[in-house]
Amino acid sequence: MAFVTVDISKRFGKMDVLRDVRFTVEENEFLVIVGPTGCGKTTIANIIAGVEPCTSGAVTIRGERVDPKKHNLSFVFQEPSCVPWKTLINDVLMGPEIKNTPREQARRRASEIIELVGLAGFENYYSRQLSGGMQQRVAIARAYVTDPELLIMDEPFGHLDAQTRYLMQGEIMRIWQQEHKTVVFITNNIEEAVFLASRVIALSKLPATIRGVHDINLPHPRNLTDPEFLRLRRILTEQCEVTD
Amino acid sequence: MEEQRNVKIRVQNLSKHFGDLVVLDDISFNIHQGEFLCVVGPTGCGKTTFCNVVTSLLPVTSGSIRIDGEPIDFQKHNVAFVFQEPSCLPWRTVYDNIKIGLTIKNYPEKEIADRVSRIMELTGLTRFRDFFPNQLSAGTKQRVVVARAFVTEPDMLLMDEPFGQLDTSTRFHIENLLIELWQKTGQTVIFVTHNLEESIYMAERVLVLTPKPAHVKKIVDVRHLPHPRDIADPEFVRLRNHVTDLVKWW
Amino acid sequence: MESKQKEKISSFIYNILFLIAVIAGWGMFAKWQNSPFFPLPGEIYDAFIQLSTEGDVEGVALSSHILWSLIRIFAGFGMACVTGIPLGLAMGLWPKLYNRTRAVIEPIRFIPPIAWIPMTIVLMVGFSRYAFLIWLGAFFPIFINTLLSVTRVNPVHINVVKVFGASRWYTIRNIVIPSVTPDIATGMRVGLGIAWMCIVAAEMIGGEMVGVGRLILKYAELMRLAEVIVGMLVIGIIGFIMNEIFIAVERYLFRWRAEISL
Repeated sequence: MAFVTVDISKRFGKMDVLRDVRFTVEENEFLVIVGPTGCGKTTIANIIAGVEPCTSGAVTIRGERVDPKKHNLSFVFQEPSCVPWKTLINDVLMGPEIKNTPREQARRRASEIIELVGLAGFENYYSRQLSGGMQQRVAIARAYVTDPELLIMDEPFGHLDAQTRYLMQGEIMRIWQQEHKTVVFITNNIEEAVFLASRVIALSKLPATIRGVHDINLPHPRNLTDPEFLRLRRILTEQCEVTD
Repeated sequence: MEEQRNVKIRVQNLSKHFGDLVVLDDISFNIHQGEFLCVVGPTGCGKTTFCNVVTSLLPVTSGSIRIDGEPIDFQKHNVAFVFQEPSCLPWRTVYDNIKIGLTIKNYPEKEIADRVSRIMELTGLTRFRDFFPNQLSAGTKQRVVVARAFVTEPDMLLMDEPFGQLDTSTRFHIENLLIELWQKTGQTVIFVTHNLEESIYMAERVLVLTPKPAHVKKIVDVRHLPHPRDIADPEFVRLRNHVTDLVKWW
Repeated sequence: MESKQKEKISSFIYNILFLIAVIAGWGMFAKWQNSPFFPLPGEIYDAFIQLSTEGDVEGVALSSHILWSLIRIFAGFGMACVTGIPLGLAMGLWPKLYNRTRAVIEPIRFIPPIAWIPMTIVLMVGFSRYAFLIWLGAFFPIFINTLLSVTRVNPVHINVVKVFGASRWYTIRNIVIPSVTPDIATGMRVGLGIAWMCIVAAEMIGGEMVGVGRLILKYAELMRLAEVIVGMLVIGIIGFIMNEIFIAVERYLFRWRAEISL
């Protein structure tokens, strides 16, 4: 049995956003879902995380219907999601607090993760004192600290400039290799998808359907100009094609 | 490759200080008539300050910027600036947004109508003529802003990361549109960007800045790559890697 | 930074110069008018000293007037907070409640406190008259700001804890309340300012002999405009000071915010 199964459809009023989107997620894989903007990728992420309901179908983890109160889920949002009135350390500790982790244990784990994401020393900073890239690192730390069964990231680098984005892609890979979790990563950037994924799912425009699924076996860290890399990029660009 | 065109813009020993902080340090370069120059540099190297100083929105601390041999002056020269943030005036239709530069410069009505129609055709905006910005997608809004800049046929057209907030596919489309527009109108364009692949995709030459205090690290010539450019082409890849090595800070 | 400090000092100096210019201008204009109804700056100052030391025509000191006005203000303001904030939160969290009562609430909101005076005189006596009028002035800004603050809570923050499985109560306590507090504080500050401006109207019909509003009216009847102006200035300056203190407290409590309101 697959770790996570997704079989969902979603309508908003008369409009079909997702039509029979069916796929599985294996334990500890880095699955990337790539597609044009506005194709419903965020809706998929929200449904998987239990933030939004689907119109029909279900998402299951180990056979059980997904439920944020039962399962250990984490989400990294596209927008900066740092809670502005909390210092960095307290923001990161929110998850463990909700899940009633003992304080000492939570603190130790938080320090570990804060160091892992490269923000050691910034524990008492407020989010307005941090750059966009740093705020996303806080969101990532917050997501990892609870030791999630499933970690969903919805275009987390969308609001960062191209170079900070490259930096963060490298960082995410480094973090993933150290803390192996099951990750579902959403993006519209095909280069980013090929750089990160162990498996890629290509989505069409609205209503979203799956156009292709690819296993990527290139070694990490991946070379953006490697011929195989560029070949995959080309295939995915065709499958996700958006006309103006 | 020999340079046939004459020098349109001459930047000499440009420096900008903010108190004790030196942001731009002794920058010198020339831009030729009708050239498409990309400017890249690491995050935080002062590219926005660079844009503001080169267009004379901010005064220089020392050095000079000359257009056609004369010091840059808004009254004499035609300067257009395309910002990173969406800058369509929300209370004006697409047509009125595009014509605004021409109205300020007191062009006759007939000429305004002709020029705006032509540019709308070139940018595929004719059917959006009477739309308001909030009815348009982000990509279309940036097209309006590009049209607005080109229609005044500026002496210097500076674009500061104009496609940074668009998603990848929209970005590719509008980059191609920009190249087409540039080829048809022959404007002199300075395009500042963080995206190194984008810079190789569009530029004739790429100017690489160092981290703060910024000065010119190198100017890379990419004119030999034909348009439309192929990101998988080995020469493209080589140039991209070269520029990446020059810029890489991570 | 050096230039910021320079700017602060030069602003301060300009303020002083401007003040002197205004006083001098007033003085010249008054001299030119040469009317008993247009007091000179010197006369205003003398009146101020007189009122502070010996008190007014009934012997009541300026400080007593100020104290009583402040007590009334804070009573009315306090009640406005106690009623406005919970009501605003309730209507914000349950929009149906607001939408179904708007047709009545909104027109009432636009009735100025002064228009309530006849009813207040007829239906209430003594301290309650003041408190009611001041409550009217302060209530609506507090209520509306609180209500709007709930709608402005960033949905991303709510989703952050939702994914972790937070209960509705946890979300309200840890996300909604910290999010809305700055906007409520702004509403309170605006409400306090308006309440203070109602003091003259309130004390016009109040009946007691003490209060800065009453002071102004007393001397207006006596055609002694120097004292009237002292009263006006006292009201203005105290209002200004209260506003500044409020802003300073806001700035401290909400250090995590980037902007500072006016």
